Amino acid sequence: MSLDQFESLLNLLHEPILICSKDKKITYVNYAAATFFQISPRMLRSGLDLKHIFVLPGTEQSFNFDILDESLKTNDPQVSGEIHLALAKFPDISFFFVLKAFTSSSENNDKQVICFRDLTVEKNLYNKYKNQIKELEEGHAQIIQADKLATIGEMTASLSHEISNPLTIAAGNIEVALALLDPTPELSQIDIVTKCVRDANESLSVIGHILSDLKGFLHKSEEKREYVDLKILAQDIISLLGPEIRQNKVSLQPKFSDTEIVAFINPTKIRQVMMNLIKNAIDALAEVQPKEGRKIFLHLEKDQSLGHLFLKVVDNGPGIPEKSREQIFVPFYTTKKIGEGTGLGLPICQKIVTAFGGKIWPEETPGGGCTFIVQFPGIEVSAYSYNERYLSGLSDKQGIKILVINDEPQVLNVLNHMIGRQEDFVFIGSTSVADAEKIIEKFDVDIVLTDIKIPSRSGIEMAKSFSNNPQSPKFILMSGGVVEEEMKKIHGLKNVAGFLQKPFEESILIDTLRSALKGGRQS
Amino acid sequence: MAGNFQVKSQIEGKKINAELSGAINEDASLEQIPSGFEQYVFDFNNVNLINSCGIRDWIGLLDRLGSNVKITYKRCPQIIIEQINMVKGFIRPNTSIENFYAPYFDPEPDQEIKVLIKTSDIQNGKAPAMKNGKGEPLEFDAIEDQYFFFLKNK
Repeated sequence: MSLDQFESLLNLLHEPILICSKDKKITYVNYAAATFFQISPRMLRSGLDLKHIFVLPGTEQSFNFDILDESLKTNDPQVSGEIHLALAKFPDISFFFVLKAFTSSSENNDKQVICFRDLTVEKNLYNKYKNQIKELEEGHAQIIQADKLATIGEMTASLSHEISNPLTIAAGNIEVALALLDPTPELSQIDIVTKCVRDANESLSVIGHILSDLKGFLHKSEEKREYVDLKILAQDIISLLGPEIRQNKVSLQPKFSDTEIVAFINPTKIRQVMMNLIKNAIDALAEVQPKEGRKIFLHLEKDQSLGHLFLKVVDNGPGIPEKSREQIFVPFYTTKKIGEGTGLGLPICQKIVTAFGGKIWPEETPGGGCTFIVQFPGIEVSAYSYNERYLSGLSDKQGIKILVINDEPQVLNVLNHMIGRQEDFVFIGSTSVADAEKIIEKFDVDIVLTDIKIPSRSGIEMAKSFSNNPQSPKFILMSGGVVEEEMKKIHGLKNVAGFLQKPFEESILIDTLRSALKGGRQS
Repeated sequence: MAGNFQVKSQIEGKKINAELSGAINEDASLEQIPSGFEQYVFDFNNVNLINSCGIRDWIGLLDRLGSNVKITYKRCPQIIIEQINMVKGFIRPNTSIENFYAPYFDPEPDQEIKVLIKTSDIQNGKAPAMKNGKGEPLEFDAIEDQYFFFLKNK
């Protein structure tokens, strides 16, 4: 193919292509480049240098095409990262490109070819998309906050009643105590004064609890997720709704399963879901007077085979009318009277729950009433999908999956914090050996970090069960106690790569994990 | 950055004259150009940018207006002509270009000039001869085969 034929072919391409000499003088531009960079044949004839065409955006400083030097030096094609440049003619209009450069050598006549891949539109759209998503998230956060305030507004009457009772008691006791202390208390009265002060203190502490629960509920939600014991979270909400429940003569009974119910969620947001569902049930019950009394049951259960967690709010109210069932998750749809409901509670619940990979739906309660069921994925799946997604957004590296087994959510949170700071690590927490075993192969786990003693099965037994498996992850065992006897049991287990005596520092943990990846054993 | 896209329309019976200005990009709302007229005259004189999103939307607009309407482009700047040359679908059988800007170079003050020329002035794919105020000839500042490519496809 002659040079002319080659250049004619280049003219058919949509991508700008420049050909330069070794000293960066432009000798050819294809049609797309002439169009894009406003290079006329006249300019080309007059001896055009790359530095005459391209500058750093907003400046007169010429853009340095290091990629050409690299291509010449290595004689290999070179690809640049994303570069940002402008034309000398219009320094305020900038472009984003990825460049590919290669050198074509023939008889001492090196030609350097630069292909431009224009990313300007893609980059601008990406930035706009990111900004709009941010605005939507901010808007959504404001709606959630507004919903909380509306809920608090509705609760104000019962709360003020609940606060005024202990306040009256405290004030009365202090008055009595003051009277007894004036001018000098008799010894026989000291016991009464002490009791008055204690009662006043207790009443003030009740008010303190109410306000603390309120503060927890109103706390502006962050995106951060953590391992949370849903039973504790549910008890907080039951306590916060106490005044509302009593005022509406409703019996709210927790029915929690014996197993650990730990979720990987944002506690502030899930508090709001629980609050909305229970308040809806209270509102529904206010319309009726069932023979057996107004009842709400709060269930927390775990599906042992799939690992799903279930939160159920069961009431014996009137149920959801058939015509409303399709619309209950539509924003601003409400069956309540004007001023009594925003129509945002259930849509917000749905949005929060789905953001955690869960589902929410209503069912009829057998015997009458409504049951709202919220399903969350098991913590292992939840943490993996969340952390892996986060990693993918930051890096093109394959994540190293570290499964941590511990039955205490606080410990998982601390370890998640330490391990999560390593950009290439994907933290997967688990509270149960049975669930952990299921996901080791599913997610191709690299390292298992487990306590020697965990409920139901020991970490050593777990490592043993994988010891003959060529695909076994590396095990690192932890313990806070004396472990001499246990340590003997791990001799000969090739898949045990380390031991950590608690408490340990973050740097020791990370060193042990990295060493395990290299195949070493630390203790 | 290029300004917001605007359309100034003037209706003459079944004909609409639309003066376009600003950037034809992802933010440009081409919905403001109504369908239902028999003839459309688009004046591109004040269009300062068109990108791939804008081209996609423009082609969508032509699809919406239909093949039975008569469309005329006038005062097309160089950026529009270059896109017309590179993108299929910008010119349809029912579309004509009345006039457009072509790049010329005046060697005396060393100046690039955009000259408005009529499509009918292009004969045999050659740029019409132009002179500056002093009567000296201007040099056509592009490759004729490439710049007038759209006339071959017409």
